[in-house]
Amino acid sequence: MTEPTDVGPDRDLGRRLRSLPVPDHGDEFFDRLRGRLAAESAFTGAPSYRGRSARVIELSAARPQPVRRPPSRARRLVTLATAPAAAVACFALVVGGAVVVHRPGDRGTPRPIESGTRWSADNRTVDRPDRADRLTAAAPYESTERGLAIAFTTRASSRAGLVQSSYQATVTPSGDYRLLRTAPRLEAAYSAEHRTRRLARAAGAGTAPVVEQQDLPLGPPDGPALSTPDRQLSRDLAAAVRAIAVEQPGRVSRGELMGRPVVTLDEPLEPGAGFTEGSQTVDRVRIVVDEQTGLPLEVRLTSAGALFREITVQSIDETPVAPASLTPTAPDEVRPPATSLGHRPVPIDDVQSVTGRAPAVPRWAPDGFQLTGVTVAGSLPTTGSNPASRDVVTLAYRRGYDTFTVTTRLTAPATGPAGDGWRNPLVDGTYLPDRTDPTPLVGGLLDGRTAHVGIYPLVWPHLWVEAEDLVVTVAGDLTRGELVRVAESLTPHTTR
Amino acid sequence: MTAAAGKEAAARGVQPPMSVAPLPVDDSRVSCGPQPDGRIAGDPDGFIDMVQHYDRPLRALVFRLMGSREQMDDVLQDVYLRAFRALPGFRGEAASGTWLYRIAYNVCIDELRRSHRQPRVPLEDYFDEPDPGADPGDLASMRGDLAGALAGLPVDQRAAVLLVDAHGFDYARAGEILGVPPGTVGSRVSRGRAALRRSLGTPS
Repeated sequence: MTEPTDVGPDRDLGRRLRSLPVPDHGDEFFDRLRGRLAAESAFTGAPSYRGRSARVIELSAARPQPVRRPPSRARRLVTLATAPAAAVACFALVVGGAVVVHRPGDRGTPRPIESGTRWSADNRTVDRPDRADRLTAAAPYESTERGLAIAFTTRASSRAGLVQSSYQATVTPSGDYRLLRTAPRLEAAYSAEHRTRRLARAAGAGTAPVVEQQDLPLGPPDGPALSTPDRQLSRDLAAAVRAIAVEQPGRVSRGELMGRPVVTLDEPLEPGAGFTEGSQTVDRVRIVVDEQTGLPLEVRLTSAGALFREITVQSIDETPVAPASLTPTAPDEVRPPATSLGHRPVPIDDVQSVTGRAPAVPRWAPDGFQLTGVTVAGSLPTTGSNPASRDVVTLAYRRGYDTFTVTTRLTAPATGPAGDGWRNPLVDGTYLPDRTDPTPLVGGLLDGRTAHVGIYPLVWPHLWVEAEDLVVTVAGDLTRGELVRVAESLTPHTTR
Repeated sequence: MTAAAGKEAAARGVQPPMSVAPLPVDDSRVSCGPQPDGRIAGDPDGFIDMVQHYDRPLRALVFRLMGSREQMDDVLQDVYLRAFRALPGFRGEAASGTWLYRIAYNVCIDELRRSHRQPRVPLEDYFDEPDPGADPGDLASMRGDLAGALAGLPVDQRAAVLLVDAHGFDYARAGEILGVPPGTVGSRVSRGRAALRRSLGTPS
């Protein structure tokens, strides 16, 4: 973006804005319009432009007016609850009563684990809030982990036809990854420990411009789970298939692919269950999932028989991860511009001092999952039709390549319009359908609430529930029963 | 629009929207577009022929204000219907493009205010595959980031930035569309650009 002048357009920004996609109309748009106009003409007697006295067209200059509502009683209570002890009590009060249910097998609050990967920037200030000014471009990863080397291709329909891309990816159980696309060259490297991602794309024969993104969201609903390069290797699709395989085994088949046990979902989508993009509606899915890693080995989404999006894994091999293999190449002298996405890492014991209330922590998680990250976002702009949210606390859990997140958010900003009620945070703002089932919760902070549970293709298995001024989501590599049990085990975290 | 639908539309005399055509970099195309006259008032086909000249830039604006294709289509149905109803009183003081933009902006605001809904980040930005033909200086991720950052702007700033920077209107013309003085347009554009820079991490 170039420096703007006082008047006139910012031409660089304008060029980038004009490169954003513009969807076509639906197929029957002009037929529908023609019908409405014809009806209008018949009703008005086909008025003539000429021969009528001219008049000024009064177009209302309506501008958005803030909708102000008195704060709800619950919100007033939260606002007043500034003392830590009061905050804990308030949290329990507004969420519905701190009824802690201990189930057999409860393991208490999972403990954080250390990532096996270290980010060795030239200086060690990367976990400081002001680190954006301190990072250098030479930030090699040092890793002794074993990971997966994955070669895959994607094909996607576009207005210019099918676009095919080939990728080499390396992922680790700690969540680090490196992604390389050969043509046009694109590199991405992600440090799970620091939620920092670097992206570089070749600029012809010159050096690769690099950007850095910090404080990335730990997972859905605020971002894709960062266990793999999900944007390219849509792991959410695979997670849904695994959950469906547990819930409705008759819908899937099992077999082998590349010598690996796989589960396959290959079925048409019910009307309204797909999503529409441009003029295409995805109406059939074929998703083959590696049972050991949960990675999709084959994804094929079609629209009326035509390819919409395809992912094909050519090879997947366990491999030691050499430090250099996770290093994004960048010229040493370049300091990449850094962008914070707002999800600051905060120790679990410090969340209450940041947000004013104790975080909700599950007292139960499936065997093997451990807490690996906690972030707080003070405020997030709205996406979709949901209101803006603040004090978004995300807890991320990992078990090898499996992940899930528990997120709580206040549903309205401190000032301004109150929320109008929420829609499914996992799909609102996308063209994906909302096909959740109401499920009553028993136990924990959410006792008596009705959760909405979604296990269906194209979306992470997820649960969301409104509780006064909070929206709680659980999403990731979980089955329906696990989602519900995690939600029912939520209790306020107590500082050790 | 699918190829088959496009052929069908062409057979009916309707040109399919040109989604790949670039937006005008200044408002000359908009201001020099066809003007309504007595031949199209009350003539649906003539009116549709006229508005199709402006349809793509209007789609680009409305889509970014409303956030989904469905809402874009719904809003533009109302825009065109309101314009059709208003044709008999149209004096031609404003270019027809500016006039349609103003109707479109007002309908968007009405709809957003009515439903209290906030704009959405379009799915195609989220699922976006890097375009091999794009400027290699642009990072693939930045396009989605830009769309997201844009969607995070208040609607008045977003509209001002889009009209001035993407659609090429000067402040006076943008002010006609938004119903505010040119100075207000300028301040909204400045605030919007600054917010985009902060969101994208671009040095100011």
